[in-house]
Amino acid sequence: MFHIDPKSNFDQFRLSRSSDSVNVMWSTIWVGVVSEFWNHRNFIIFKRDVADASEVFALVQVNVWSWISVKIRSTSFSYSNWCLEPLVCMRMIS
Amino acid sequence: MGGVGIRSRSSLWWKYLKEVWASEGWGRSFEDGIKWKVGDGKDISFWEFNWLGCDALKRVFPRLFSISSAKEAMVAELGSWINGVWVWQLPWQRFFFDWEKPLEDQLFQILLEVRLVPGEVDSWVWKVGGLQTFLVNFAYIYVRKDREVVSSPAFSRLWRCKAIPSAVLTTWRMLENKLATRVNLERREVSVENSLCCMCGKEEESYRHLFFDCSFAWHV
Repeated sequence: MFHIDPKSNFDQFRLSRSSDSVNVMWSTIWVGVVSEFWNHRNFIIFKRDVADASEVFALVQVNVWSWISVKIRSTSFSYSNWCLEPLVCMRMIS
Repeated sequence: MGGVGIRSRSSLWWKYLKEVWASEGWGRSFEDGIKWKVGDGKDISFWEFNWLGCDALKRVFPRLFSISSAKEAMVAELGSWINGVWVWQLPWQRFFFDWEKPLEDQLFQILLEVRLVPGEVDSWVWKVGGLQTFLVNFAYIYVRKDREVVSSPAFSRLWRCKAIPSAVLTTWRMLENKLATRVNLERREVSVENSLCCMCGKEEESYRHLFFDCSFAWHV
C-alpha cells in the first residue's frame, strides 16, 4: 500500500482499463483488507494474539470470496480457483 | 404555526423534526413539501392554513379576512351539508361594499373546487417523490437539494462494493478517521496504556500509520 491520502488510495486501487464489475471487485478486496486488518488489530489488543500478516491475507481471501459468491449470483468459480487465479476469476464476473 | 397545526396528535418524533427544521436553517421548509388532503375539514383552519395550495387564505384575501367574524374557524365549521351537498356559510362582520363583492366571488370560485369527505380525517400528503406517502429517503433528498454536498468519489465506490455491511462500515470509519485507534482514543480522553502501534510498537497508532505506514501493514 502507498503512503497517500486514504481516500485517494482507495479510489486508485483499481485497473483503469478494466470494466466496472471488475473494479467493484477491486474495491471489495480493498474493503476486505481494511476490515480484516482492523479485526486483526483488535484480536492482538483484546485477545493477546500475535501479529501475522499471512493470516490476515488468508482471511481476506476467504471473506472476499464468500461475500461475492453470495452477493453476485453469476459467480461460478471455486475457492481454490479464486486463490490460484484471482484475476481470471474477476474477469469471469459479468 | 403558519400552516402546520395538528397540535393534539403531535408525537415525540414530530417534535424533534420541528426542532431540527427550526434550528438548522434548512434550505426549504417542511411545509413546502406537504399539501393538505381535505377530509371532513375538522383539522384545517380555514384562514390560517395553506390548505388549497395557493398560500393561506388570509394572505390571499387579506381584505376578506379582516372582515370575517370567524377568523379562527375550522373548515368544517364554515358550512353544512344540505341534502348531501356541502354549502359554504361564511360569517362576516358587516355587509360587503360593492368593490368587495368581486373578491368574495373569487373566493367562492376557489372554494367550488373543494370536495369535503365526511367521516374522513384531514391528512397531509407528501408532495415529493410522487408516492404520496412520506419516505425518509425522499425527505432527505428534498431538504438536501439546496445544500451543497461534497462527496468524494471514493464513497460512491465504497457503497457499491460487495462486502458485508459491517466491513463497509469499518472501511468508511477508517476513511473518515473515526475508528477508535489509540491516537483517536487519546484525543477523546479515553485512558490507554500508550498510544503506540500494537503491531510494530514503534510509532503512534494513528489511522494513517496503522493502515499505511506500519511495517506490518506493508507485509499485507
